[in-house]
Amino acid sequence: MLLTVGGMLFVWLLLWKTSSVWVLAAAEAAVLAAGLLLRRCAHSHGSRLLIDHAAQHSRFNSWNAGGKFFFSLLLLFGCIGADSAFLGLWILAGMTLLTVVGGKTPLHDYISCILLPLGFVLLSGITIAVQVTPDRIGVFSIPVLGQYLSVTEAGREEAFRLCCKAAGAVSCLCFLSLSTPMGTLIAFFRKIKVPGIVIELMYLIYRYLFILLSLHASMQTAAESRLGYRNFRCGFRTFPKIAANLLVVSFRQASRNFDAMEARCYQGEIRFLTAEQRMTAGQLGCYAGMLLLTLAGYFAGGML
Amino acid sequence: MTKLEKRITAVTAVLALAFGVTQNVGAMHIAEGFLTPGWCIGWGAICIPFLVVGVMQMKRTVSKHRKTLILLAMCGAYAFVLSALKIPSINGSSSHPTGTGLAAILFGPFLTSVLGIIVLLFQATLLAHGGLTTLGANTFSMAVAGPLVSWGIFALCKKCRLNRLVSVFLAASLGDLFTYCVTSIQLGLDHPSEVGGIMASIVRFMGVFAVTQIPLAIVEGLLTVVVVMGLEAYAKPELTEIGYLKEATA
Repeated sequence: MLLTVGGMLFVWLLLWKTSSVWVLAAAEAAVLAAGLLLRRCAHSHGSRLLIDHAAQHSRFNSWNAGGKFFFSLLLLFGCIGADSAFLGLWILAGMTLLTVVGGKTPLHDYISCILLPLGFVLLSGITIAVQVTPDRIGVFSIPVLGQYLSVTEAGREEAFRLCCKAAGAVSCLCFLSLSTPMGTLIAFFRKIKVPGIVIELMYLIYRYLFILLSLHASMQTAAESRLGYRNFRCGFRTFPKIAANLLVVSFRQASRNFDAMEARCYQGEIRFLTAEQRMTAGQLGCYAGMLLLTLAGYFAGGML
Repeated sequence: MTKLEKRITAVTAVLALAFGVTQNVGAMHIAEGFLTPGWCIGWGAICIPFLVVGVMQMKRTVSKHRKTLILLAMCGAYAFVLSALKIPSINGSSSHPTGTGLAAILFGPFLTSVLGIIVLLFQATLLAHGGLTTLGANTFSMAVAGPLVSWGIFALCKKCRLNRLVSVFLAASLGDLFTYCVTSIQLGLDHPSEVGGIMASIVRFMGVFAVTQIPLAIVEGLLTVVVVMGLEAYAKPELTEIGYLKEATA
């Protein structure tokens, strides 16, 4: 919904007065159709963390976490550093293929994950395209409170480039989070000498997430079965109640957890076992191939 | 307890209505890929001293009260879960409080910065909300600048012997507002307007945020007050443990 409306607005900002009305109308219709189609594909699984679940089942799960982390980070910085719209879209396509075909992440899971950040990217893009100016300038402007909201040719070009870059960057992030469960990522952070206390905190937060999510799910079910969400007004009343209750329950849970740990000789240090993940030549080859493809995309984008 | 519950219900119902008409387009996090590499690294570097102090402070606190670690972790998880939940609102968009004001009041600004960066990292990797390259900028606005202001205001109010709940409200809502100002400045610095440059751009982003964030800041303040009231009623031992109540009642 957000994505569709944002996309339509964005296309309108981009194409207004550049070409015939028919092109604009066709583009709008295409965006609307794509938005509706994506909306059908994407669905959520209630309280379960979709990304975490998908990461556990990804084929890249067993790959070396450090390798994946540095590879994604390299591409991320490459994507936002190169400042090219074509490269952004190229990386978006490449990483989507890598995640869906290479990692065997179900397509609808992937779409569900990437749709929300893409919606935010579009909305931010609109903000970039529109400027507040004292005079009437640019392709068109709307008078608001004595000033004008104007869209200039350069402004919308920049917005388009920025959105493409951000979309590429989001796909890199999605590749990392859809291939690496948080547990292995934290183990990798321990390896690169992040302070022990931060690592412990991360592990604990990660574990408590699921406790709280399932507690919340049962509260939600209880509220729903008592018609707590039968209409908007009830929903508005129910939600804060659940939120407040969850905090109290989480404090109590933390207290019990601490007692259990004390009973098991907790001395202020928690040790977690992690499986070793070797960096293989195959993994390196895959990264090198992707990076070469990206470079090729960079030069191709420069020539276009 | 029932009286408190009634009060909580009444206030939260009002809050919820306010939530319903407010729609926040996720503007609080700068999305992945929206800053140029220079600014990504720059904002990250600014956060480092705060994080270092935070880690040192946390080590000291945890060696004294081991339970604090568990409480901190629970608070982090709670903040994450709240942000993961969709508040039912009219057009399907979601809005959620940042919760950093509460953490700053309870744990102080430095511990909050460490907790904040972890929660932001989790949000980026588990919810695709925010991002890795913008982690530094988001940490600065949400986990360093906002909490510092909240904590400062809370301390100031305590000195002036203001009512505790009023000071909690002021700390949380002003900290929240300050977070958005910083986010606007961050975006404005990186994306100056064609006409008017950086200042015009900052004003533009502030204008966009003001529509949603001023009501949201008030909501956040009220919500924090409700939560603190709840905590004072239900979790006295824990609050004493982390030093909030002892200081406050002394």
